Amino acid sequence: MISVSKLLCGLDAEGDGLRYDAANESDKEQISEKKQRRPVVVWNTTRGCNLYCEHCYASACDSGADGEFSTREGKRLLDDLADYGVPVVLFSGGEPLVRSDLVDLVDYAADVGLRPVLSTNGTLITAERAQQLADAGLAYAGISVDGMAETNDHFRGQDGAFDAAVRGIEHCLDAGLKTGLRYTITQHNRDDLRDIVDLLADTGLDRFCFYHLAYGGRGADISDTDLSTAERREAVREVCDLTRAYHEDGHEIETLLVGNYADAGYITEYARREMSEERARTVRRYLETNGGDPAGERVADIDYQGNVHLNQFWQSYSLGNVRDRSFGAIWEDDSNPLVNALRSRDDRLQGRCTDCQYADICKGGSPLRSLAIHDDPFAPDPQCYLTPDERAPDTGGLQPTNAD
Amino acid sequence: MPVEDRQRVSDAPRATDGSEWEVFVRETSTDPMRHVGSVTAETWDIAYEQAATLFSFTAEDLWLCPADAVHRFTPSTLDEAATAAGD
Ligand code: SF4
Repeated sequence: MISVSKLLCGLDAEGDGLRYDAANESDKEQISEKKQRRPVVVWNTTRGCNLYCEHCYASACDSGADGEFSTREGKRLLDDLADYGVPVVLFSGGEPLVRSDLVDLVDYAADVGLRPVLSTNGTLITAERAQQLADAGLAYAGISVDGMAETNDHFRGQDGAFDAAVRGIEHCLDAGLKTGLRYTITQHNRDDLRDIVDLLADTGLDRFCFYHLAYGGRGADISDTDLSTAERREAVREVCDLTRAYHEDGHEIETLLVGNYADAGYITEYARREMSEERARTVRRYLETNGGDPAGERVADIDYQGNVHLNQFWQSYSLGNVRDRSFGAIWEDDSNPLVNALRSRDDRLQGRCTDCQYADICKGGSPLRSLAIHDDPFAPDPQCYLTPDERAPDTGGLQPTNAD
Repeated sequence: MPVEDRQRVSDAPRATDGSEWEVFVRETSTDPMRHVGSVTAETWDIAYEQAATLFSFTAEDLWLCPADAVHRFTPSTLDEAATAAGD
């Protein structure tokens, strides 16, 4: 996750502990590099969902799956995560609100010292449920809306989903919950990006997370709707421009880009071009503490059947199952050569990443997308959108690039 | 560890779209065969393709086993439907 508002406008948003890089950006004591930081854990609490979204990484459907965790097992899992020192548990799905025990689980997570946050399509959030979640100690609700009404409802497979999600956002804000938008940018909704920010900022929302498409679950099936290089550059530029425009008007929205660490290079170049050399240096310094794609390091996923994954989108491969042994034991098992390689991926960069001046802050981008397109998790991210000159100004970028 | 300290993990399914396949690799011919997780696939040949893309960078031998053919015994107590190891 890269905070555009922090990098370009200096906004130090309240520490919600959500960003994988939050520990490193804090003024407080830095966590030593040697010590393996505990990951943020996404828990897919159920496969069940009331919608059928085109890009769902969990391939959710209208019923739950066999083998989902009971309430008691869920609480044992939360104990396990708390014992290991996991800082944040992100309740996800499917749609987590289809679980009738969600409030109970959130309450329990907060009690055992985890920071409970929620990822939801928002359509099942009533005023009462929002208040119950707030009272239970929910620290943040991320609500997915993927375009203005018509676009969103088509994408999410249900008429009225947009209005229901906006009502959900309003209920969360009324309950005093820190709330943000999750927006996955594709060709279908890139033109709605500015309108959605304007509309939701008017309702009082002030946090906007823009996701690049991950090639996992149904997201892999719609990779042909992903943005072209030129479209991606335009969309990221728009996020940068609108963030600055809002801040110049005195409206301090928080904007984040998620899922493509070529953004790190692009934003540094943007700062140099549109702002100043000094701003570009500051941006780069911040990003150096960020660490590139977090798969297998700063984020983990546990699916509804207890399988542990390298991130929430990479559901086709599992490191182990928490019904067999503790999450910490699975995560720290250093006999797994793939995990070891991912955790030292700087040594494995290939192709255009090898002479990229941003390799230290991008690390080759998303291994899952590289796997989906190149059959090799260590190949350069097919979504990299830097030009040769941005990537390697000294050599003019002799290695091939998507932007060529 | 005494036998009674382990329980048998229930046979709850580990995948909904397809089956789960346990993956084992040997890195060089003198190394032990090592369990390195599992992949989800409809058939063994797709599972092999998936495992090979993940582990070919290091593995010589690669074995697959349907996850539901593996009986797991553990001291872990998370699984509510686990049964006594001897049952
Ligand atoms: S060339 Fe590689 S390291 Fe550089 S920004 Fe692109 S994906 Fe990242």
